[in-house]
Amino acid sequence: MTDANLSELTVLIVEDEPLIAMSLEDALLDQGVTCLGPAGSVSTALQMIEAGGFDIALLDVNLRGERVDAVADRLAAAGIPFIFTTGHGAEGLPEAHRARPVIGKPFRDLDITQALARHRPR
Amino acid sequence: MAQLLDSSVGRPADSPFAEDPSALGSPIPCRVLLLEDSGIDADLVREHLRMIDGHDFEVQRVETRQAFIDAVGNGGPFDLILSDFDLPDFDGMSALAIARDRLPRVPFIFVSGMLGEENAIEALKKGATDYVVKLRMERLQVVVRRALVEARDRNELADKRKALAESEARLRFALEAGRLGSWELTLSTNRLHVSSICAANLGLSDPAEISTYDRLLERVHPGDREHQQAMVRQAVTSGLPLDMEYRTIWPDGSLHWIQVRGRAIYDKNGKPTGLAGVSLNITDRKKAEERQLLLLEELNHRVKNTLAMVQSIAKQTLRTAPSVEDFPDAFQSRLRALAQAHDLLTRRHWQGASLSEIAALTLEPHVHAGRVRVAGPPVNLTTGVAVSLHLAFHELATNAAKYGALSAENGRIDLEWEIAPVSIPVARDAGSQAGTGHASSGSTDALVLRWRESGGPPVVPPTRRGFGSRLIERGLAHELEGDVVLAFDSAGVRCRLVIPLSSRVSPQ
Repeated sequence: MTDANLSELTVLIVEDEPLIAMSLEDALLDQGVTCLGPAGSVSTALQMIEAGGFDIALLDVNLRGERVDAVADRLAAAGIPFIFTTGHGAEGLPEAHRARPVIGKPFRDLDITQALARHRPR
Repeated sequence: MAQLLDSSVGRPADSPFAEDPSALGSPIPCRVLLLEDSGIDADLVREHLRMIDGHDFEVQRVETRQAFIDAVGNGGPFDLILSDFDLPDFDGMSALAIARDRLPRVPFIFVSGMLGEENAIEALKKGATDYVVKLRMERLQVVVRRALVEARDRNELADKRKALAESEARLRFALEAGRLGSWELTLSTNRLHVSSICAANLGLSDPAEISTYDRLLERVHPGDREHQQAMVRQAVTSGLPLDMEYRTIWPDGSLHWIQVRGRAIYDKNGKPTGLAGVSLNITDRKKAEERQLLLLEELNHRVKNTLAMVQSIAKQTLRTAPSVEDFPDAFQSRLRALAQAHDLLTRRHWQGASLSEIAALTLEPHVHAGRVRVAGPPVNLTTGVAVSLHLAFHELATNAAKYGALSAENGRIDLEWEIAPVSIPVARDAGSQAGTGHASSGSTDALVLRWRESGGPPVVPPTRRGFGSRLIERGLAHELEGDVVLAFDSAGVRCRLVIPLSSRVSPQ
């Protein structure tokens, strides 16, 4: 089943846990979404943002003990929408990006696809 | 004193005597030291003492200076001293001086043939309780009774004062031992009296530095001032106990936590007049609470992350299981592998693990059976890398046991690693944290790890990639920012990992 809202969408996955990244890829590939990444560190994520070529990002708030504030700042500055994924509560989010959508771990595939459909650029 | 001198008037029989405990029951024993050289006069005194109700007098008579000094020196204990004024080898004033020095609490009454007003005044000034002239010996009863009652009251008061002082000392000791400061606020003046510990809790050496409530407030952290004031107001108006915590910044700039407990004080009309209580520096407790909170948050994060991993394992196991019947065993075995990794990391306080420990976790039984050889220099792994590598080894070993080298009698596995210089793609260079000095020339030191199976049945490459292959080829390659080659050679499965050294993968 392909969700029309996710057609021709490319998503950057920023996630340091390979099992979770693979699971995200599975869920998105099933919907016909193109996946970039996963980027498992802040520096890799920043490089991939520099390279571009995606519409929206899924952003784990903590990569190998490092906060992703810099990644969120860069995405926001580039006008690229993003959705946080986190095992922490909302208080763990970067201060400047509290208003961004958040999906708590563990999540359903549906949570991801619906959030991407809602927040993808028109 | 004037009243005592006006000795011609007898005391009414009631007033202080009504409270005399002797009136209630058995006679009060009363030891008397009598300094009297005349036997007749001594008998007269005894006679009059006997007429006093409610007392059982035991008289010890002494006639000389030395005997008096001995008796006083032995301490009695006496309840009363009666003394003649003129003695052959002694005089009453000297006896008085000795008695006041040795037995200051015992009433001392002169009983004398003639005394004269000047001597009487002098005697009272020097501490005599009263005097009786022998011509009016009937006064002895009144004077003795009064002296005894007054002495009892005085002694009682002294005992109470002593007990109070002791109790205060104990309280002060307890407060100091418990590092409890004490304070009292007077509402009408806003004056604050604090103990030195109370001041020390705020980093001050002098309690006078917080002599008013306003000066105390200056010491309270700006963010807690409003709350502090509100709590104090509430305690005053409600009468409920005050119990609050606030932050304070010491003069040295350090932040401390204070706990304050107290209660309002009211006058007889029920109007609050003040507030008093104790203060305690709870900074250590607060720091422990903060640590605990951080630990709980970290635990929550780990549990959520682990649940997400379990969910991911379940989903991917389900996707790749040949049949629904194959799912439970494959899933449970992967869960157990995850749990093993957690056990090992917990033993290492989540500070990472060594590569050989991780290899042993999966392969130890086979090593003992002589089927597996593990060799390589010491390498440290961070927790995330350790878990990923362990899950990869688990997949390789499970596959080997089902289809590969460990499924055949003579099959074996060689797992070896070394640190070797490798050339790495430029794109990956910036992402890795290899600090070996070779990075600029396009080569860096890396962990090169080889898994080689041999002696098993001929390998048939799988038609589609399973969970294990995907985890190793995709997951591990991404996680470790390295190169992974997984080959299903017909002679045996081979896997080669090349992982640039970094803070996550480092030689010991």
